[in-house]
Amino acid sequence: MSHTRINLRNVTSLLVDSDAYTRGLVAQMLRGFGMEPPALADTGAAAKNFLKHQCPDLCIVEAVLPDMTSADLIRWVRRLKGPIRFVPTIVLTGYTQLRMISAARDGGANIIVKKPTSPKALFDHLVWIARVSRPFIESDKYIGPDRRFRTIDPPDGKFKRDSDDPVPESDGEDAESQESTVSHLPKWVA
Amino acid sequence: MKMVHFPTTRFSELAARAGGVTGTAAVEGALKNLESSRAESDSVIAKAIATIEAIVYAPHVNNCLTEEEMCAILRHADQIVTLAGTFCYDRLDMATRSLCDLTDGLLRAKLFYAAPVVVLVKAVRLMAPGGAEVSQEEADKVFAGLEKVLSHFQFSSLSSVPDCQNAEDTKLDAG
Repeated sequence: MSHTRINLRNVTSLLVDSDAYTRGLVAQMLRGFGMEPPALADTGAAAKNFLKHQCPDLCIVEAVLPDMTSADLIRWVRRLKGPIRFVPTIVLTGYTQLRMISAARDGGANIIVKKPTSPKALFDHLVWIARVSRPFIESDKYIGPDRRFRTIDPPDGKFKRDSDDPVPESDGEDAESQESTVSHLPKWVA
Repeated sequence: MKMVHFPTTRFSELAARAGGVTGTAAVEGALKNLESSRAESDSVIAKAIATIEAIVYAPHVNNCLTEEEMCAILRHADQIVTLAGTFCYDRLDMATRSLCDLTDGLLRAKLFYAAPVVVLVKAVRLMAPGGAEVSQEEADKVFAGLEKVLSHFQFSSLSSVPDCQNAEDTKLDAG
C-alpha cells in the first residue's frame, strides 16, 4: 500500500495504554501519518471518562489495562448510544497478552495487532479500516463489527466483477472456519 | 433480536477526502519520529532490565520467586519485547521473548523457581543495547542454551498459542 493515499488530517483519536513510553511511541507514529496528536488515557476508567464527553474518530487500546481488559472497555463503548458505538477500534496486544486476542475480538474490536507495531503495519491497518466497510452487528450476545469478513485487499478499482477477481471465493463451507488467503491482512474471522 | 447496521464512520469519511499522504510518505514520517526516540528507548530498556534484575537477584525464600514478582517480570519483559522489536534489537528481542515464555510457563505450572529465570535474565542483559560485544557464534550458543532451558520444562512459545493465529503479525521493517 505504499502508493495508497489517505487523508488523516483532523482525524481525532484516543490512545489507551498503561505504559507511558509505549503510548508516546504510538502517538509519534500517528503524528507521522499526519493525524492530530491523540488524546491519551492510561486506564480503562480514564478512557471511559473521556468517551462520555468526547467522540474520537478512532480508538487504539492496549489489550490489558490496569483496571480492565480491552474487551471490557470496547464492550462498554459498543453499548453506548449514538455514533460513538461505531467508532473503529484497534487493539494492540503485547507478547505476553496473546491469550487475550479472542476476548478482544469478541468484545467488538475491529482489528487486533501484535506489538511491536511497525509504522507500516499500523498505516496499512488504518487504510484497511477506512476503506473496507463491515456491517455492524447488534445482537443479545455481541455488538460490534461483523466478525465474519472476506480477507481480501481493499477495492483498487481493478476488478469490477467477481469473475475477474483472482482471489478464490468461499467454497461454501462455514464462513467462520475460513482462513485468510492474504498474509498482510487480518487473519481472524469469528 | 439481531440487527445489522451499515454505518459510515467519520474516520472513513475524513480518510477519503482529497489530499493527504501516500503510504510511503506516512511511514517515512513515522519512522523519522520514532528514530528520534531511540536514545530514550535505550534508557527505558536499561531501566526495565535493571528492575527485573533487582527482582530476581533479591534474596528469596527457598530460592523461589513469588507470583507477584513473576507477574512484574512479565510486565517489564513485555515492555522490553515491544521496544526491542520497534528498534530492531533482534537478539534482545529473542532473549526477552524466551524470558517471557519461561516466566509465563512457570506461572501457569505454579512453579516459582528463581534459578531458570536468572539464567534468562543474564541472557537478556548480555543482549541489551550498549552491552558486551557478542559474536554470532556466541549468540547462537546462548540461544541454544535458552532453548534447552525451555525444552527442559516443555514450555511452548507464547507465539504458538492458538489465539496468536488470529492476530496480525507485524514483522518490523523499521530501520
